[in-house]
Amino acid sequence: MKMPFSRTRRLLRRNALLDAERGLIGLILVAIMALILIARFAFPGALTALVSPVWGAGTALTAATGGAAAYLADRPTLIGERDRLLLENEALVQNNRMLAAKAADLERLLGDRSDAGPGILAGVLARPPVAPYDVLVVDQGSEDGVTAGSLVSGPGGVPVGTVEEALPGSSRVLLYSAPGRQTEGWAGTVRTPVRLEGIGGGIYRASIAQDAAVIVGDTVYVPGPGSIPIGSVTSVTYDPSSPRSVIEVRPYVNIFTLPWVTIQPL
Amino acid sequence: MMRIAAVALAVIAPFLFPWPLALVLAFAGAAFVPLLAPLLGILVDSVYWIPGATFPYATLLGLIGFPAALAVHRFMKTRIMAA
Repeated sequence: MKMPFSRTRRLLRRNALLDAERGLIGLILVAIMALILIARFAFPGALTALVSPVWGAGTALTAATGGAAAYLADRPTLIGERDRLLLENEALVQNNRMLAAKAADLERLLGDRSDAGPGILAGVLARPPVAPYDVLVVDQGSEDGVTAGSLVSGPGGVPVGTVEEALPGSSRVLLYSAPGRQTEGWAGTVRTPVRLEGIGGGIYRASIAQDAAVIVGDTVYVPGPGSIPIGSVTSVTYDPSSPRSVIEVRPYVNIFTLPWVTIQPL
Repeated sequence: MMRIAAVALAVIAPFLFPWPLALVLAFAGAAFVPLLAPLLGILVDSVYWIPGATFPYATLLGLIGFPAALAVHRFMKTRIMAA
């Protein structure tokens, strides 16, 4: 009867030391948690500033990996790609000349309205899929004139979302494609009104009447100065038991590789 | 060594890797240090979450993951002691 008791004592003594160490680690982790929470609410920009170099390293690493993959691609593929790009470039040069001539004609007719609108150019620090919730973290904040509610556009002026939180040195942008976010817009050549609902990953979904003339490939627009195209319809799903069909929209701007955005202050 | 590597990788993963991979690494790290699950959840939401716009799922997942990680940790410890 004595043997098990003393063994238990021995085990308890050994575990007491282990538990003390584990307790200390736990205490440190709880303290870090408290510090993060305090920083989040008392110094909202501090954490973003702290993490920025890591995001920068990640972006550089991704670019380097992409470059290495291209280097390792086989020779015939690269030659084929070069030939295709040369042809494409030639076609684009011709197209550009034609458009320049047309723009010059229109300018003579209507006057010059090609001045760039006021906007703040911001570098994207974190984007999906690294950032969850379909959020962008950009490097311009309230100190640079960014305010909550400002419209954020990608390349070509395509709207991608709005600033929801302007911190001193950075901002958080909620993309239109964030799960559950609803945006009014139009689809197709007859501009059928649609309510786009974000489903994450840059994709939108909308429900429209089955007899609406919307087909795959149609452009989807959102309100702006006029109507701004943001993407195209990639699928139209018909359900025989429902009077409505569901369209899926893929945006023109690839949010996974977005390097810069323009913020239009309010 | 493995414990330190798993924890370090889990901590930097939310800023370098796609979030599904970061989630896997977080649970791998939490198997060694269970409190890492809520810590990483809070950290991710502190950096990415927008109040009012979405629900702080990362914190919720961290809190849910904590008892699971604790169970896995105890199971691993028992296996190591038994071996």
